[in-house]
Amino acid sequence: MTHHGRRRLAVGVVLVAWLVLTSAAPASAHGVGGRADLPLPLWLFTYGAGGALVASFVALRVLWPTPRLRDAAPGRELSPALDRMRLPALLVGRALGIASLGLVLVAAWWGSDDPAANLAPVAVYVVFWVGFQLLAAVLGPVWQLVNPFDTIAAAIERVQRPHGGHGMSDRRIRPADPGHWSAAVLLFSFVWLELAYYDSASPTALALWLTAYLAAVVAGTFRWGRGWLGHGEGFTALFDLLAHLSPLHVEAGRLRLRPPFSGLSTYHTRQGTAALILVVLGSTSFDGLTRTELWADVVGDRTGWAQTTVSTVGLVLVISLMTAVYLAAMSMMARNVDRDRAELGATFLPSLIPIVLAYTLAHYFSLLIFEGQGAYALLSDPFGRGWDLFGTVDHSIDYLAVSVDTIAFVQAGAIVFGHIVGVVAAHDRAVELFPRRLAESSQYPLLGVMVLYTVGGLALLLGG
Amino acid sequence: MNDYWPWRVCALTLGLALVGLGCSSDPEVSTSANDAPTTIEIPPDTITPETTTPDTTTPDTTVSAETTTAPETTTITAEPSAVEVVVDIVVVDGSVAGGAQRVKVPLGDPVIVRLTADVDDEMHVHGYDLFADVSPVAAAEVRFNADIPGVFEVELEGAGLELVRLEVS
Repeated sequence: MTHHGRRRLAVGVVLVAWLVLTSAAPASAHGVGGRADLPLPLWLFTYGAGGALVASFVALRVLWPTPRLRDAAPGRELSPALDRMRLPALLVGRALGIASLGLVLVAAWWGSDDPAANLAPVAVYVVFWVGFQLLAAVLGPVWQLVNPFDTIAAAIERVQRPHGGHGMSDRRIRPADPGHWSAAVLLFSFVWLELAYYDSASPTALALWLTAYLAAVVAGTFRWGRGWLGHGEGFTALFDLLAHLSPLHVEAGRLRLRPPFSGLSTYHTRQGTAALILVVLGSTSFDGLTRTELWADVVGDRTGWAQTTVSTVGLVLVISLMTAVYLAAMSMMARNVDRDRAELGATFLPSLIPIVLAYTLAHYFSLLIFEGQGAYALLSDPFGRGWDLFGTVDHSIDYLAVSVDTIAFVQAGAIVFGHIVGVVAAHDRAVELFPRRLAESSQYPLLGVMVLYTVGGLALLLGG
Repeated sequence: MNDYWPWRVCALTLGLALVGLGCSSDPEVSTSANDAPTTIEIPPDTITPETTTPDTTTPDTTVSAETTTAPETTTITAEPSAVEVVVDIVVVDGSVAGGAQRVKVPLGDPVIVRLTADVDDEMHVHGYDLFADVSPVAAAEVRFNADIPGVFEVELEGAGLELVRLEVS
């Protein structure tokens, strides 16, 4: 992390902490959701970790000697009828996006103080945060169809350039674009609120955070222009990252179908991409850590801000630890192949994207399945006023909808599968960049990182 | 595209998963097999939290009846009966005596959680969404059948203090 980036991170943390501190009446509960997953059975952990290790070494020996992903990545065009649907879909989607953002804001500011009776917490932490990560990975650029931040930015752009001109005379000279650094900082503020702040489910805390976040997005748009949003706003950057796993993508206005995961070869890294990925990976890992008995002992009897302080230190430590592992491996690789570390990072970072998806699936799959049902009920009474708009308010969460065995298999399966895809993608990049011999030896440090992330990820699921 | 690697990776993973399932299905089957029958037989005196009511006001009719009739339960040394899992918690000076524990509960078994505290507050069993008021003169008690698998936090709601984690499996 550069000095600059660290300072931004610190400023972001202080800002958000201060904002919440000035409000927040002590209320109930941590996070959303009353149920946590059972510890992964030990045998499943052993299989998963063993499988990941074996797959890694097999991959080095058996996989193709020439790159394949880049050739497969363009895919083929889909029916033009689908492209004609794009404009109506965009109009409807953007309207829905702005309406949803408005609904959540109103619910968070003026709805019930009880997190269980307010739509905002479950809508943000479950439906939006987890739901869109999975949607992006499967369906690709769906976020662009609803992205309310971009709709706001478009409005700002319209105000700034009322005549729609975009000649040289209109263009102000913009300060240097922060790349993915701003996205990493913005996402950190979100995961801090969700995982470290003691009263994260509180609608008031969420309202404050969301308002501050919107202010930051607007400020960023003014400073760096609308184009910044596509990579500089946290959620947009993350969903775009995950969309590169999807078989669907849009190129030159045409919807195209490509083999899944081949889009990893086209991912465009920027300044701070590593930070963006590591904030998400680290936060998911920290979420796993908080479910262990070890962490319960660390927190002890601390509540309120004392607990928040401990959790913040824990969150930062986990992210730092994963960053240290990554940086060490990149340094080692740079020595092995005699290249610049930054160049290697740009080349190999995309192979961590499948692991981001795997971690999200493993940790939040059950949350989406179970607590997502809560959103269905609360849609009828979003502000906790005793309404029943759609007749769904009495729907209670069916905690038996998915068996615990299925959840355990999805968890272990996701992490191992994500690992394998990551290894394969890294291999493909290596044979593209280096001669065969060097390609193999260059991979050892990165393999080490992935094995550590995978075994660590699985170990956290052991939970006991 | 048939030659494309992700398909092979998918097939390989699926194969591995099936082998894994085959090798280890025995312990899994036994756990999932006993949930259906045991949840049906409910001891007559226990409260069935059939519907998870997210509302604070409703579940207290029976639960608070329990608590008000039992101020003497402050000193509980009760032998757990053969079928029930009894969890006793004491909160003094804002912390749990002996620290917050993790208690394993067999799926489908009746559970009694009793809380004695030196404050006025409320005990909340997450997931099952059961509440019971506690005060220095009246212990709180919640009874339910552990028919949802998972890990559930029991919290002293107002203080935000974790009392115990129930691991139902």
